[in-house]
Amino acid sequence: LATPPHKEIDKVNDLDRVLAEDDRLVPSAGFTSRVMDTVTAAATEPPPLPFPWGRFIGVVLACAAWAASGVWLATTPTASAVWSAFAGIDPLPPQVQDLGVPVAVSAVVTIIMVRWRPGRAPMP
Amino acid sequence: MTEAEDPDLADRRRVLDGDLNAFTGIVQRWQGRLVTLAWRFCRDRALAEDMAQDAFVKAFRALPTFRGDAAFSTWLTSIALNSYRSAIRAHDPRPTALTLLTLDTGEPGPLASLVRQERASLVREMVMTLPPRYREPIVLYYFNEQDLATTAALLGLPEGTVKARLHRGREFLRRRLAAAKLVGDAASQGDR
Repeated sequence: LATPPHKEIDKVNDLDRVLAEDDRLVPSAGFTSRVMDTVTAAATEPPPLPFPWGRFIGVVLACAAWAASGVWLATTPTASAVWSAFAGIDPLPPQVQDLGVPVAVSAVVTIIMVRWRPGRAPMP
Repeated sequence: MTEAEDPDLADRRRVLDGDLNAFTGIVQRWQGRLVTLAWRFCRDRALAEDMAQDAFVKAFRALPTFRGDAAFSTWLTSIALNSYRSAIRAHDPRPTALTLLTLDTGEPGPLASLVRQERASLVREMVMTLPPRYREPIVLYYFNEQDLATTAALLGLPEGTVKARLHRGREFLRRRLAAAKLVGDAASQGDR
C-alpha cells in the first residue's frame, strides 16, 4: 500500500466529467402513492381564510378618527372652549361615580357573552 | 403545444376539472427528475424524496397559475428549486468527510474502479459546501446536461451571469479540492 496523492486523482480530476456523470436517483417503490396521499390530503383541506381587509380597514379608520379627534381636542381654540364649559359642570355625586366601574365591567361582560358563547362557532 | 399533444397539459386540465387522480401521471413522469435534483442538493435519499414530495404538493397547489409561458418542465423545476432552497436552508450542508482513499491503484481492476467512484463521489459532495450563488448554477447546469439557457431560465438570471458564476464556482471547488488533495494542479487545465 502506498500513497500516491495525484496519480489516481488526475484520472478523475476533470470536474466537468465527474459532475456530468453524476448519478440519477430512482425514487423508491411507493413514492408515487405517498405523493398522491399527500396531494389528496392537501386537496381536501379547507382553503385558507382570506385576510379580513374590510374589518382591518374599519379598525384603521376608527383609530385614525380617534387620534384625529384627540389632536383636535388638544389644539383648537373651540375645543378649549368646550373643555372650559365641561369644567364648569358640577361633578357627579360620589354614589353615581362609584357605580361607574361596575357598570363598565357589566357592559363589557354583556358584550362578550352576546358575541361569544361556549360551543358556538368562532366569530368570523 | 396543445393539451391534446402534451400529456402534462392534458393532466393539468383534468386535475383542474376535478379529476385528482390525473396528477398521478404528472408525478410518474417527473418523479425521477425531481428526486434526482433534490438528491444532488442534499446527497441524502430519504431527504431527497421528502423534498421532492413537498415540491409536488406545491406544484399541485400552483397548477391553476401555470399559464404556459414556459415549458411545463421549466415551471415544475422552478417550483421544485424554490422549495429545495427552503429545505436546504433548514438542513445545513453536511461537512464533507474527506477520507481519502490512498490505496495504490496503478493497475486497472475492480479496486481501481471503486477508488475512482469514491473520489468522484467526494468531489460531488464537495459541491454542497459551496455558497448557494455558486452551488445552484453548478448543480442545475450539470443536471440539465450542461444547457446554459435552461439553467439561466431556471435561476431567472441572464446567461452571462450564470456563466460567470459557473466559472467562479468551479474555481472555488477546484481550490477546495486541491486543498484536500483530491485534485492536482492539472485539474485547472481541463476546465472549459
